[in-house]
Amino acid sequence: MTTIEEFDDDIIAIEKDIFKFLMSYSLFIGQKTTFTTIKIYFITRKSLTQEKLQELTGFSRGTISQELKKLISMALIEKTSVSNTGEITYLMKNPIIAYVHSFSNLMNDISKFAYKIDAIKDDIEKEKDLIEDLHGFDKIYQLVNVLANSIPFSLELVKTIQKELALYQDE
Amino acid sequence: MLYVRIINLRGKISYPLSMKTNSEKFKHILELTEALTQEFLSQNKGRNINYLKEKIKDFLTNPLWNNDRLHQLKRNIKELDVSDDEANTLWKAMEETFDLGYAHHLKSKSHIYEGKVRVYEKRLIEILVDAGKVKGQSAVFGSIIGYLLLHESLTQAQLKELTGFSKGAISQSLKLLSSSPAIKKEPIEGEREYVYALGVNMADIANNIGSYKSESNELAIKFFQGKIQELNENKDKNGYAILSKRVTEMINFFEYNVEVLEKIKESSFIKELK
Repeated sequence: MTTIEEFDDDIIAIEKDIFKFLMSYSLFIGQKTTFTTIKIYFITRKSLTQEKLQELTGFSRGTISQELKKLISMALIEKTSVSNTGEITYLMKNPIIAYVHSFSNLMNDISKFAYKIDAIKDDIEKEKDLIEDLHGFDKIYQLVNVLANSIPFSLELVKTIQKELALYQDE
Repeated sequence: MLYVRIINLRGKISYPLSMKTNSEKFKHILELTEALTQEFLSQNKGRNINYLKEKIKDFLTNPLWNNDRLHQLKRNIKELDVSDDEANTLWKAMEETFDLGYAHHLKSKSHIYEGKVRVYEKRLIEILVDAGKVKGQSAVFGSIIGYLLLHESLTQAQLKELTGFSKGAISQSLKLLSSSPAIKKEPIEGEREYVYALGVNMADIANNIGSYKSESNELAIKFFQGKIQELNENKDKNGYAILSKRVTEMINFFEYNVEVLEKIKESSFIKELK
């Protein structure tokens, strides 16, 4: 069984800075705080048990077990060993996994956004003749088009990055 | 003509008691008032005097009638000596000029869009708020950004009117936003209000949806390199081995990201977009 290493206070102080930095890191923002918190502890600690997570985060056992299930289903962490008392150790092989995962989320978010922008663009185009002389039309029309035009760019960007990240992970 | 009548009327007026003290000062005014009253009553038989009172009060107190151009307008129309038909045509043409001027004013000034455009405005804002929520932004925050994207610059009061959020919520978000270069805050001349505008344009914002900028990678590299230095001062401590290995892995990863971004900048799909 893997033993969970205790961190000395000086190291914990540095870990706290890193925790704060990653909590406000753009790719990690937007998910539930409990989820992100546990994810970040796997980045800094590599291996953790439920008990250790409870000590670090102060979250309830229920919350922790729920978020661990989510992390496993997303293949961010894996179960590595079970002690003779039945305690399971979970492992995040490398911190990059967490970032790559956030990218696939981003792809979904952009697709959802693209769908909504395309829909509003269609509706405006249909009504254009009726409303184009109204005050404010130009502004709305401009913004919708700028957003619609940026979507292929964003999607292509994220797709390319994902491809590159997959290569990186394999190395 | 009026003046002549007043001379004739002088001496006939008996002033109300309350006026006695200022009788000399107001005498002339009250004589004019008396003359106007007589004229009004003789020309408009059976008409309520309150009508005249109201009109005169408005004429004397409403700053609108202090405009010299207005008196000029009246003089000029009188000099034109138009027939009733012509007067009607003239008034219609004047009305059109009023309305056109107002429409122009609305287009250039108003932050309130017209009719159906407002429905689309609201829908667009909702989409932007949802996109912001994914990135962890509050609805207030997202709405402010959205409305500023559309309107370019707005005051706090206008933002309150458009978003429907409380003054407190808006001012709190603006305070947060104002500390970043993303938003510009400028005082309005001669007023105690500020006007807020985005520091970036629509295209910049749209291109940042990917939120994968090389600056954020470079910032991360710098941050983690600093942490490696701190860690190296604690080589004998428990946890050093794991944490420094993890941080090194992250630095390598961010460096790789910067390389990828460079590669993307050179790629054909970006060049096509520009």
